[in-house]
Amino acid sequence: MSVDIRIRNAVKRYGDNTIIPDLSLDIKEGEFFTLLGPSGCGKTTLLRMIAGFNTIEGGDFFFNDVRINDMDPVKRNIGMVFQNYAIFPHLTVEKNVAFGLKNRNLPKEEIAAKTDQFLHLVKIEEYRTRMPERLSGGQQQRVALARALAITPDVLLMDEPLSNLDAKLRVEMRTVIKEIQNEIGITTVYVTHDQEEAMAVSDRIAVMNEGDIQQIGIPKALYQRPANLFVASFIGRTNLITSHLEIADGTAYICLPGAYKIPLDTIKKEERKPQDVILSIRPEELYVRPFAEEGVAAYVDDAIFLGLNTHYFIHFENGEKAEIIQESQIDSIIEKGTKISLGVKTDKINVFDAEGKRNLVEGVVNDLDVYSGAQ
Amino acid sequence: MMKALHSQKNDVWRLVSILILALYAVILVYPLARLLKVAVVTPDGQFTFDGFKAFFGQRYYVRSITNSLKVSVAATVASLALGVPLAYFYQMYELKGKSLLQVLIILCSMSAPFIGAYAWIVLMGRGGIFTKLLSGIGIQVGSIYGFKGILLVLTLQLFPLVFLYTCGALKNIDNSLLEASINMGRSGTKMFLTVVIPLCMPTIIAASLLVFMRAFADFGTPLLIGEGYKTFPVIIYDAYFAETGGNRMFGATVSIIGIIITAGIFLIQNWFSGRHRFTMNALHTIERKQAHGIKNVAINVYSWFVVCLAFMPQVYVIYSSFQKTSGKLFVQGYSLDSYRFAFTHLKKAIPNTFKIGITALSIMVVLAILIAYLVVRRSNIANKVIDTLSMVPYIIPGSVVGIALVLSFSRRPFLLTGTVASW
Repeated sequence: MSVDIRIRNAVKRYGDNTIIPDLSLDIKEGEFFTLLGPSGCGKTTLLRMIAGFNTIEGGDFFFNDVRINDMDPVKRNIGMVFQNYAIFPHLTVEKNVAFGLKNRNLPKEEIAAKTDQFLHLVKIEEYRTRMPERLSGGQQQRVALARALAITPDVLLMDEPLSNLDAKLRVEMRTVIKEIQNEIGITTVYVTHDQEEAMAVSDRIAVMNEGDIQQIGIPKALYQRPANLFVASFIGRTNLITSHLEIADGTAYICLPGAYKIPLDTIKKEERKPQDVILSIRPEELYVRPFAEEGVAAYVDDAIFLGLNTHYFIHFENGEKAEIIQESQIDSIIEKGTKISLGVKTDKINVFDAEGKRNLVEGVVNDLDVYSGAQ
Repeated sequence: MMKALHSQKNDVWRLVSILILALYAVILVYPLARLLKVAVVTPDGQFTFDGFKAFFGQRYYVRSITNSLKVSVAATVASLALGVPLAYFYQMYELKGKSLLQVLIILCSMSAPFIGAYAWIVLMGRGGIFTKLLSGIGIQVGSIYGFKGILLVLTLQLFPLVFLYTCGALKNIDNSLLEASINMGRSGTKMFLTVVIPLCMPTIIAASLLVFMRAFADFGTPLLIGEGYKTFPVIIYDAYFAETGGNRMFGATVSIIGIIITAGIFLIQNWFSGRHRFTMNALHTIERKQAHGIKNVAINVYSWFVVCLAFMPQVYVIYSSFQKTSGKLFVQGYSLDSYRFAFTHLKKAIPNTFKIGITALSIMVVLAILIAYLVVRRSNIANKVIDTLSMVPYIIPGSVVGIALVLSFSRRPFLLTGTVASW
């Protein structure tokens, strides 16, 4: 039976050092929820608080309506997958998977049946009698997953489970994890620092920095309408350009290098006033116009052909640098030093206030906002 | 140029191999071969099993083997029973004064073999200090002579080895393995028995062998506290150094039997550890936790009780060193006379102890480095032989090595007895 997880005003301190000052979060039943952030942001700490391996200095943690703060980790009924798999090296694959089941006073037949079921689910039946050291990293990860799921936990916690695998296996395993999670429908909390991995597996993502959640949302919302500058630059790549917002006849304009102004009708009504802003323009939101057409003047510094796309590194007339991604064309790559004219996909770009704290563009969805009233 | 350099380097190492092989041939292979020869060949050149017949024909001798096996197995089991939980508590929990605790444990393991036996006789023997104190309040402690005494002394002396080995193994366990176990519903004693112990098994097996070999080879302890309980090394000693002039053949035979037994134990251990082999590497080592309530009290009491008990002989020896003496008897009061006596009368003995120790250590370090390099980096048949030979002394009781050396080198030109090279 899956549960929903409710966290209210969680606090984590080590001595005088506050890691998580005040954190609230709701994870829906059956959801694949990811905590994403740079190392040291508190994501693993939060996961371990849910698991019961870290003490909780403040706030409340609920599984459905049950407060789990003081519940023994053993009784929380959690399946956990660790960064280094934590497979018992002295037990065979089969015995590893059966480990949790044996602690539950189940009849032998049921243990055997469950073990078989999960060995089958993660496709490692043929290795059942092997010792872990004779398995590859990917296979060990499958054992860890089967072992965590075999106890039919209420919640599955995964702490950077793919970080020890090579790039290709990582992509393969994240698909496996996603498929299995879909099949079982278990509430899953996943921790990673890899934003691409997070986007690939998650229903929703919470982006964390320095112990605070910056934004919670579906991958699309985070990428296209980041709530602040941190989210914009942590998720995907972006060009940050300091700029100014001007208002003329009720229309908002942004100033681009070379005194080029473009109207922007996505700015929120209440933000339509002259102010300093930071533009976040992703490389694919700039496009090269045929020469001599109106646009932002720039010079090509370098070009990298990557098959599907070609990356251009450019600088504007004021010296600011930026990156552009273009679908590769059949004709030749634009040469270094060439003067080009750039267009901007105005519906896609984001505009932040001068501190980078707020996105001034309409359509930002941040599930975190529901807690700000409660605080 | 490069090639010439390389082959020259090769030649140097080949020379080192030859020198080490020659050294082993002289100080190990020849004496052992000679020991074997003395055991099975009579002085007039006849091949004989008389020595073996004499040994196995006497219940007195055969019983010394069973006695030794019994006491060694018991001491090994008891050392494990004390040392493994102590190491577990030490690595898993915040113990009071844990740095001092560790120092004391290490000191316990470094005491001279028979000091333990001597001190326990003085403390708990027939006229012992504790024996009198306790009988004064109506508690009669049983005899600590014989099997019980040997077991007590050996255990308290050897459990620190188990402790140190097991601590090493525990440091190698990744914290997430224990977290995984707790997470899946197995914690506390059950986790200790079914997860921690199996994970430390390779180390525990290695420590067991070491403890067993030490216990089996120790002859000072049974000699002092064993009284009627004769163990094998005492028999070897008696057989060879008996006042009646000793019987060379019989002494050699007993030594050979000793080697066969220890080699057998070694092979069993080797087979056993082969079945418990796996690799581990800890990403996050175990963090010490603060235990609470009765549990905290219990683990602290256990740890300090064991360590204080083991340290008692040292405390007693230090205490008695300040006691006033008259002739060979302790009298009332304290003085530094013993120290004065030691420094004036044992002028040679103290520097000699250091000289021999330091010289032996230097030779060991140099040889060990050379052998390790040859075995790992220059693997060939000669160096494999060196590898095997270097393991041989490990499984042969020290007194046997001594006898073999004396048998081989007590005549000129290699006169060893009575020199620094003597054991």
